[in-house]
Amino acid sequence: VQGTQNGGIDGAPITASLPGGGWELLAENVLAALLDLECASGNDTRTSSSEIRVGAKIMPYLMAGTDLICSGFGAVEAYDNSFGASLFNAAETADFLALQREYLVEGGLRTSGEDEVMSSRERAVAALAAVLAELGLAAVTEAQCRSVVDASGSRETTTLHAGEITALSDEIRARGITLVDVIAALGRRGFETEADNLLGILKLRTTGAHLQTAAILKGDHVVSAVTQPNDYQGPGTGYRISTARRAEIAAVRHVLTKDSVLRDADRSDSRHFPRFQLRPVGPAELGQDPLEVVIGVSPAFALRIHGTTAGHPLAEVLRAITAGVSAGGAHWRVVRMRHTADTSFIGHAAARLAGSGIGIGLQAKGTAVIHQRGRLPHMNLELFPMAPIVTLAHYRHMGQNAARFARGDQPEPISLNYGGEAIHAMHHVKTALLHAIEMGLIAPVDPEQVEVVLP
Amino acid sequence: VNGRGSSKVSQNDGRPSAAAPNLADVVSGRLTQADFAITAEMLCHQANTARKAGRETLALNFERAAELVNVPAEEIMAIYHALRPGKIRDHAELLFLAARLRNRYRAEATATMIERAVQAYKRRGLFERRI
Repeated sequence: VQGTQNGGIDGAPITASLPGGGWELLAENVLAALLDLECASGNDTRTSSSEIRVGAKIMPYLMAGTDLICSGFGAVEAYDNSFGASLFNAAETADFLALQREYLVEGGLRTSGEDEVMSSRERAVAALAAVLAELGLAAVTEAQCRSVVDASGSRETTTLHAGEITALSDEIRARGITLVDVIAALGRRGFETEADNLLGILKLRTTGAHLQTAAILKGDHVVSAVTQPNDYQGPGTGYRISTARRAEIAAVRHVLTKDSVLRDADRSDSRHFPRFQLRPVGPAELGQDPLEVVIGVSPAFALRIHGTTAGHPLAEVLRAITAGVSAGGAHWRVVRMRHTADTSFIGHAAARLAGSGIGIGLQAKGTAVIHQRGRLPHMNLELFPMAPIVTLAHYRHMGQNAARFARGDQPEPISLNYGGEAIHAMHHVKTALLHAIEMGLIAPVDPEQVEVVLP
Repeated sequence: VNGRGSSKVSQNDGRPSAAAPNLADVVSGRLTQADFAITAEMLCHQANTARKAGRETLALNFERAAELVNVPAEEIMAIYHALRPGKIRDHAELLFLAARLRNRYRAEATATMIERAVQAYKRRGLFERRI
């Protein structure tokens, strides 16, 4: 039974090159399932270098919620895979975990912590070195071991080179070294856990249970079509992800929460975000100076959020804007808005207070607008919605343009250096949480005049 | 290869035996690689399991495997090679290997399968050189 599908699996790149080849691979899987054969899925050989085509190929499996997405997954760097690259390789593990989570499908993997991974790697390398020494095959140095623990692939290591490994293989064959010898060596060198694991596999092998249809080793026992028959009867039946497994799939690294975002935005580490004060000095008055630009800031500005999504300390942002206004020949005043967290409305309110009728609205996360009295709230002069790519030079330029508007000029609009990155994918979750923090501080209070005390 | 006596390692119900040897038996050298070979009994047990699960073809496969536990690996590899389409020109070689399986190892089912394969290969021209 095993291997029935091998042609269609290793040969998937040929199949995929034919008109309708994608359908043929899917049909082969359906056929294998209908005939009660082992289904290999056709997703282990990489059928294309195109990431879009790889993504399209995997999509039907995610949609169907199949419990076997790949019969093979390259657990090493693609260049270390002498069979050729897999559809998914070590470098795509994070992508695979994300797909598993996004579509809640059983991809067979779970996220593990850095400490867990590193201690497993250290232990595995130490065990291998011990076996080589115990069997008198090779003596490897501590530095070689360390290079393997830290490496992503063989090119980053200083371990035995290919020629030495070939000689080693020959010696293993010549001396008739078997897995039993390896287990004994592990046992003698104090690697009991590893030795017992391998011994468990050897014992299972004597049962033949792993030769039944669709058998896999799960933990320390074999599951197969005999122990777990295919009970699929249509949508909602067959293998279902348990609540516990669902939580495991969901727990990828770097999940953002309101707390983690707030912690980042409010880092007390003064090297990141030097603290400064916006000291309230009373209700903001209407300005009389015709060259005055009002800089309106958001409720959480320098109170709970101290850096922009681009990583600029808010003290530096204010310094850049005010320097720009002064360089442009105008005067500035800073007002904290408490009634709104919306950039346009902050800028709009600032413009209404400004003697020149020109205001700048600035959220703590870095989103900014230049506004003018008499305009509708969303009909601004200039808007900078992509805070993650706004530089300090842009903020200075913003102040300068506001000053020129105040003097009655028509400055050239500032253009940001946007390279087409998936900026929303990278920042939207964080931005939404930062905005929730701003919204939490909104109160029905009039704009507040503040005095800037920079570090 | 341990084809006759019962395994020191597993019971006939397909699970590792409760009194299975521990690591100390391996470290002390009491157990060797040969003790971890699957037995004909165990393969027949798996044949019954497959048959009960409705997989007759797989059951026959297990039963042929049970016949082969005492056949040297080199001999099995020679048959494997000869069965690859286009690898031999004269089917007499396969018939000879089949007869030896039957006479020397009493591998009746496997021998019969090879003889049936020879008929099918002849019908489909699989003994000719393939490009």
